[in-house]
Amino acid sequence: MSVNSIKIRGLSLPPYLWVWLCIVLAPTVYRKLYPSILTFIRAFTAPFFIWEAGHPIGYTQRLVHAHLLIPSLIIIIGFVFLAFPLLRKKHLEHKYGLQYSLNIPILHEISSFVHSHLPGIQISSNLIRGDQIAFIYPQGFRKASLALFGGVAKKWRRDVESAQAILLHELAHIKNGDALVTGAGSGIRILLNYSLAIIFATTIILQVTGDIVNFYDSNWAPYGFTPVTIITSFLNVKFMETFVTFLFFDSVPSSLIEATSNLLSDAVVIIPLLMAIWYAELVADHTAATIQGTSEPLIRALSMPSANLSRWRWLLAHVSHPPNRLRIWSLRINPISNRMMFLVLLFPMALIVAMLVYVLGGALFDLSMIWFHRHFNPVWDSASTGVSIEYVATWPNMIYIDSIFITPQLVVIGIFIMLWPFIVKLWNCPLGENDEEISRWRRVHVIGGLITLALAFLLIAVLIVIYGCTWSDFIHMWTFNLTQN
Amino acid sequence: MILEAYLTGGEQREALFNADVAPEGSFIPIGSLFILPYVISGISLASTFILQFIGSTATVNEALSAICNILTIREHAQKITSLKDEKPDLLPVSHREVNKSVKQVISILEGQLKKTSLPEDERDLAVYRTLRSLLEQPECTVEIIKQLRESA
Repeated sequence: MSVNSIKIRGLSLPPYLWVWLCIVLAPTVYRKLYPSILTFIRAFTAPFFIWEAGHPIGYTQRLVHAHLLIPSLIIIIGFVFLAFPLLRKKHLEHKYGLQYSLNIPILHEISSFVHSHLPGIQISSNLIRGDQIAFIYPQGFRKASLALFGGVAKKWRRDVESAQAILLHELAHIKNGDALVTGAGSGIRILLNYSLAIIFATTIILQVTGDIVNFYDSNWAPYGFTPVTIITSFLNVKFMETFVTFLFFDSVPSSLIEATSNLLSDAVVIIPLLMAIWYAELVADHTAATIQGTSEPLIRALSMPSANLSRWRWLLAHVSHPPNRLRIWSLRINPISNRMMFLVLLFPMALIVAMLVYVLGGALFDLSMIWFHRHFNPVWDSASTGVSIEYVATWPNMIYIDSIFITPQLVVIGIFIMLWPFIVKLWNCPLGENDEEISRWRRVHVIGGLITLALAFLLIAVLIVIYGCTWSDFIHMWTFNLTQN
Repeated sequence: MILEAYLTGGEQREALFNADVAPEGSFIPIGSLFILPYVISGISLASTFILQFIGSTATVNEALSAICNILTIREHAQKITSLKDEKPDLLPVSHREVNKSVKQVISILEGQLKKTSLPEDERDLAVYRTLRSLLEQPECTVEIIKQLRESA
């Protein structure tokens, strides 16, 4: 392939970050985020319950649903960075001390290489930051800049091929239009730091506290809720036995299971976005390796020693990048058509995985409810509901509902994948000279699109055969949220 | 450039030791290993001992041999202590006459490099290369140490 192949858009793979933004985000907001926000607002602003007035901590129980806001906040933060790219630009330039002067010989050399592949690209730098290598960031809605650091300069002197592979990776991001839309993932890393604490605090601590208060009310209500009666209760052996059994065998286990369920339900929104971001990195690797004609320089670059981080910080860092081992494995897939097929199918599979995680979350929620109510306690249950508990599992319904929402997305994405080579041709992009490569590239997209459509039809078959879903049921589910809200 | 930033001190020197996670759109999410600031810091802390062995009557080759011997001794000692039923103190008599100041410099440099995630064998190599560079250009070394002391 020619040296200037980065200019050739023809052999690019589908831009799934944009697919996520244009095809997946709207149904996600409609189906999951909007109802979650409404659920929280309704729970928080509901009329005062009698027992809340009697207990100082009563009102805090309304915060049990606070975790519902996490996915929405992640999307909102990402959207802000998307809508205001200059905000992200200023933040990054300030944080990493970037400047636009290139009065250093090594920067001239690197810039010449960069401009030979992508003329006119703006370059900023901070060679003092040896811990950083290079990244791209938006200069607006259509332009991007490349930031260079001491890490790439050091690499340029020691292993110029690896350094060039790194730069080609970054240029591939710019060519694929990733500079603007990767900002959408910023919210994940910002909020992931706090998500576990929020879920733990609300679902476990608040819930268990509420359970304890209700338990006391239900079992010792005649004695009142005063410091004297509370202390007296805890000095009563029978009360303590019942209380400890309730706390450690009912309340805490069911709350832990429910917290896991909440974590999975919140993660579902993020999975497709996360996979689209990982896909962008893997495709940039693939493009760089294809241009160089070999994966080895890039593999060497991915194998260089990195700074030591705690496991939590390592996890946070890998929100925006797939693990290096996965990247190296992907680069070693041969032949190249298999690698392209793996990449093309990554995003459609992420939608299926998100659905399965959602169902698993629902199953865990069912388990927490069944566990909590497994010994029907007439005093407890009649106090709270007035009826005996007969729990109906929700997870089969979740397969039904989620399939209805995911199937059209998969159909659209499958068609998009199949049409991608034609879309590229319509953009009048030169397709290069190698007919065999072009045929292989087209074939991968046709097969990838057909597999995606097959997944969609499989879900349709499940809906019709197992659930007896009809077209009117389908329309009803899509409009259900609107009529409810 | 890195040395200038270190000599300037304050925020510029602190920035050299930063190890931020890289943003979205970068090549790798975790920063790469950057040991030069730690080496400079080690040279600054060990300046007295560096000047001592530069000012000694030993030749460059003799000093480099002493350094290699210390690094070799450590490797040798580790190999012996890993064997069962053998006493560790089996070093050849001639190697015991190591230069105290060289040992101190190695110890200080290693202490600084331990703050990074550089593997142990590469740490020894980094220490050796640093000391070799310092010994091969003694005038520059003295000048750098003078500037480091002024900036401290």
